[in-house]
Amino acid sequence: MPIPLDLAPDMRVLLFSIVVVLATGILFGLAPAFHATNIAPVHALKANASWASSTQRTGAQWSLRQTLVVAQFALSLVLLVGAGLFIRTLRNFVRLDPGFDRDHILTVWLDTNIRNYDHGQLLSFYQKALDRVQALPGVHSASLATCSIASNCRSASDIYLPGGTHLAATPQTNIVSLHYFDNVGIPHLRGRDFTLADNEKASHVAMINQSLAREVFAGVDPIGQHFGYDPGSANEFQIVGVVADALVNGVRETAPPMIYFPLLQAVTNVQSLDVRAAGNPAPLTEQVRQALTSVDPDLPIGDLTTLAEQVTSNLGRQKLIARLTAIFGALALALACLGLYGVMSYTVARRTGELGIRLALGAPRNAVLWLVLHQTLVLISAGVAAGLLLSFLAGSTVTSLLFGLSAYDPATVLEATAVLTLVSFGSGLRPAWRAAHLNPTEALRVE
Amino acid sequence: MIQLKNLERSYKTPAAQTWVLRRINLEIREGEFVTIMGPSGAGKSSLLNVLALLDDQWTGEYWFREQGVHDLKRKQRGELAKRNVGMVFQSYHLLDDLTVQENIDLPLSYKDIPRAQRQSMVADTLDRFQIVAKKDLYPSQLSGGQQQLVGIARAVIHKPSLLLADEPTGNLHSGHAKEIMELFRDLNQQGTTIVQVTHSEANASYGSRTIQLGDGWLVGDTANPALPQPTEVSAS
Repeated sequence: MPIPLDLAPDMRVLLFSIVVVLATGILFGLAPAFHATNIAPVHALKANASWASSTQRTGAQWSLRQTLVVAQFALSLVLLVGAGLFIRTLRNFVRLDPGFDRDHILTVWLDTNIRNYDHGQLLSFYQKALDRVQALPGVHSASLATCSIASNCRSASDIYLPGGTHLAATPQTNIVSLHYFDNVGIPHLRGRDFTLADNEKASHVAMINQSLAREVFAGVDPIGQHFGYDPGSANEFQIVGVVADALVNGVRETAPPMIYFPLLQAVTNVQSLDVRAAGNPAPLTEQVRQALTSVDPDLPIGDLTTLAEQVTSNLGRQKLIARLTAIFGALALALACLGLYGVMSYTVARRTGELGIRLALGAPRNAVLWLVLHQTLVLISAGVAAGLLLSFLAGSTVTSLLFGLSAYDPATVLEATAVLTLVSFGSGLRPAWRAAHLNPTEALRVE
Repeated sequence: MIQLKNLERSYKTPAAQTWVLRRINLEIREGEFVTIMGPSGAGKSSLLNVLALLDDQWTGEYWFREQGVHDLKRKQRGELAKRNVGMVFQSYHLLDDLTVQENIDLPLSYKDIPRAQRQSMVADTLDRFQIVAKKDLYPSQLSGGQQQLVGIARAVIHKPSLLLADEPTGNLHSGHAKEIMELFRDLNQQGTTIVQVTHSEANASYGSRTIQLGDGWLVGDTANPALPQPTEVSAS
C-alpha cells in the first residue's frame, strides 16, 4: 500500500516549524549568554594572561559544546545506519528471486465482465486475443489468468481431502490458460502441465505449488491425489502437476499455497493477459493494446504494466522509508560536520596563543596538526560510540521493516561508521591545517 | 655568531606598506650579552622574532654561525632554532594546565630525546634553578618571578647557544627582576649568548652591549659609536 504523502503547504506545519526554530534558537542562543553571566570578573581578566592546552579553564562551557557535537554525531550515525539498513532492505527486495520472470512480462489488465460475453464469445475472445498478441513481432508467448501476479489478488477457499478431512490450509486459487507457467516463468516440477484435453468435458484437474504439496501431502506423492471444496465432493479435482512456489502476492510476502485450475475447464472472466516478450516488454505496450482492440474495440483495456514495474510498485513503502532516511542521514551528517568544523575552528581560535608557544618552542607543524586532529578524533570517536549504542538500542524498533538482514547488520554499521568518520574527519582537517600553519609571532600576540 | 646584512621587515596593509625594520646591519659575537632598546614601535620585538627564527617574512641576509639562514627553508630554519635558540617571554607563556616540570619538558618533547634522558634533563634543570619543590605545581600557583624562572628554565633546558628574552622582567617587581637579571648574567658567564629587549636601563646594565632602534632603524650601538644616523629616521 502506498503511503500517502501530502506535500502541499500546510499552515499548521509551517507554524510548528517556526515555533520549533524559534525555541531552538532562543534556547541555544541563551546558553552562551547564561554562561557569560556566570564568569567571575577576576577570572575573565586573568584569562588573557596565559594559555591552557586543554579544557581546564573553560570546562563547563567546553563540556556543553562537546556534548552537543557528540550528540550530533550520535544521531547522525543512527540515521546513517538506518538509511543503510533500509537501502539494503530495498535492494534485497529488488534482487529477490520472486519465482517468476519479472523482466520479460507485460501484464494487460482486462475487464471482460463488462462485455457480458456468453460462454462461447468468451472462449472465442480468449483464443483470438492470444493468437493476435502472440503473432506480434517481439512477443514470445501469452497467457491468461484470473489472478494477476503481484496484484494482491487473493482468491482462496478451504479444501477437503477424500474421507472428509478438512485441511487447515486455505490455498489461493488461480485459473490459468494453457502454457501459463512457461509463459510467466514459474518452473514446472512434477507431473504434467494443463493440456487442450483438460476441457469442460474432461474430469476436473488441478495443479498445485510446492508450498501446498509440502503442507498437505507431506511425504506423499501429490500427483494423482484428489481434493474438493466441500466434504461431499472431496474427489472432484485430481492433482496432475506441481509447480514451484512464486511470490504472487508481492515480494514482501512469502509464497502462499496455490491451486491452479485450467481455464478451458472453468471458463470465466480473467483479470489479466500476460505477454512474454523476447526482450524488454515495455516497447510492446502500444502494439499489444492495438492487437486487443482489433479483437473487440469495445473491450475496456486497463493499464499495461511490466511485471518488473508491478513488483517495484509494491515496494513503495520501502522506497519511501529508504529515501527519507537517506535524506535525513545526509542532512544530519552535513550538520554534524558543520558543527564539528565550528567547534574546532573556535577551539583553534581560543588556543592560538598556546599553539604559538608550542611552535615557538620548536613544535613541528605536524605535531600541532596532530594536536588539533587528536581532539577532533576524540569528538568523532565519542560520537561514534554513542551512535553505535543508540543504533543498537533502536535496532529492535525497525526489525519488522527490514528484509534479508538484521538490524545489527555488521556491513551496514561498518559502512555508516566509515562514512561518518571519514566525512567528519575531513571537516576537522581544515581547522587543524590552519592551526599547523599559524605564524608563531602573530599567534604569540593573540591575547 | 650572528650577522644581519641589510635585513628588512615590513607588513603590507591595504593602505600602504609599513616598515618595521630597515636595512639592519648587525653582528653579534659568541658570548655577548646584547640589550636592544628603543621606544615602543621601534622594531625591538620584530628584530628579536627575526633572530629567534620565528619570523621568516624578512628580506636581506641572516647568517648564523656561517650558515645562511636566508637560504634555508622554513623547516630547516625551525630545526636550526630548535637546536640553538631559547626564548624567554615577557608574559612567561607557560601552559596553565601543565605542571612546572611538564612546562620545562615541553621543548624537549619536540626533540628526538629518549624519555629517560628527558626526565634526567628536567630534573637537572629543576635542581639548577632551585625549583624542585615546585615541580608539581601549576603556573597559577606560582608568583610572577617564579613563573619567569620556569620560563627561563624551559628556554635553557636544551642548552641553547643563543638565549633571546623579550622584556623578561616587564611583569615583575624590582626584587624579582634583579634575580632574573642576575640569572641571565650567570648564564652569559657560562657561555650563553644573550639578546634581551628591555626598556629598563637597570636591566641593560647587566649586558655588555646596547643597541638602539628607532622607527625600525638601527640608530645606536655601544660597540660601534660611529654608527651613521639614517636620514629617514626623522622623516618617518
